[in-house]
Amino acid sequence: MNYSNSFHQVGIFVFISLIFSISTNFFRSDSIDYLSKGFDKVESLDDLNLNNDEGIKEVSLKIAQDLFEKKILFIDARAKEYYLEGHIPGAICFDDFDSLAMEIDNRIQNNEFFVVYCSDDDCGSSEELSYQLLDEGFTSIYLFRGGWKLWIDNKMPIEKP
Amino acid sequence: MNYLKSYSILILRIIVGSVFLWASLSKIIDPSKFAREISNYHVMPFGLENTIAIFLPWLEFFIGSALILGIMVDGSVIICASLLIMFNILVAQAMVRGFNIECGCGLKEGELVGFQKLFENFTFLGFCVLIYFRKNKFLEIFPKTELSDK
Repeated sequence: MNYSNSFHQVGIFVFISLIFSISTNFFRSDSIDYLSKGFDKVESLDDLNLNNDEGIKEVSLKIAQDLFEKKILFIDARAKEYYLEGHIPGAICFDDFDSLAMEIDNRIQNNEFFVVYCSDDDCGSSEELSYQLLDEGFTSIYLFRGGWKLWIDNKMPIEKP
Repeated sequence: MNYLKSYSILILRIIVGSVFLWASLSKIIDPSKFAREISNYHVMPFGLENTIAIFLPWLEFFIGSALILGIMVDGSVIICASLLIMFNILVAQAMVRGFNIECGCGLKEGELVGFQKLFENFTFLGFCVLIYFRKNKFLEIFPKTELSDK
C-alpha cells in the first residue's frame, strides 16, 4: 500500500469508517436499520385502535378530516408566525416544547391520540416534533404529512386568530 | 515567510478538522435524527438515508481527527472537499425546491438551509484547496514522505 498516494488514503478512510460504523451500529442499543421503512399508513378509521396503536403512523387527508370531525386534537408544528396566519381549527401552536407537552397532557385523556401537521409533505418539522413527543412519553401519534397546504388546497375549514 | 505560511496551513487544518469533528459527534450520538434530517432533503432513493446516517458521521469523525493530528492530510482533505461540494448541492437543491428545512449539519441546533450555509461551505472548501496545495508538511505525523509537485 502506497500511503503517500492521496486516493489510497481516501480508500483507507472509507474502509476504517465502514468498519467503525457497521460495528457501532451492531453493538449499540439504539441501532437503526440500514434501509428506512417509513411510517405505517392508516387506511381507514377502523385501523385506529385507541389502546394498542403505539408509535407514529401516517394519516391521509380523508382520515385527518374524519379525525377533525371527531374533535381529535391537532398540533401545528409550524413556526408561530405561520400559525397566526391561519391553522386547522382548534389546533395547538408549537411554540415551546415543554408548554406544548403540558397542554397536550391537559387536553387529552389516557391513551387518546392526536394529530401533528406542518406546512406540507416537505417540511419535516411535524415528523421531528412527533419523535420528540414520542420520546416524551406520548404513545399514539398520527402524522398528517400533507399538512396545511393539502388542508387549504381542499378547502377545509380554517381558523384565524 | 515560509514559517508563517506553514502556521497558516496548520490553523486552517485545525479549523476544518474541528468543524468536521464537531459536526460528526451529534450525528454519531443520534443517527436516527440525522437520518430524518437527510430524508427531509427528499433526494435519497430506497430508504438509503439510514445507511448514510450510519456511515457518514464516522467518516467525518476520522477525517476531522486526521486533519487536526496531521495524519494522511491529502486523503482527508480530498474527502472534506468532496463532502462540502455534495452538501452545497443538497442545500442548493433544497433552496430551489423551496424546502424550509434544518440543514442537518450537526454544528448548531435548528440551523436552516440558506445562502449563509452555502457561503460557509464555500469558505471551508477554499480552506481545503489551500491545505491540499500546501508547499511543505508542517507538523504532519504520517506519512513522512515529501510532497510531490501537485
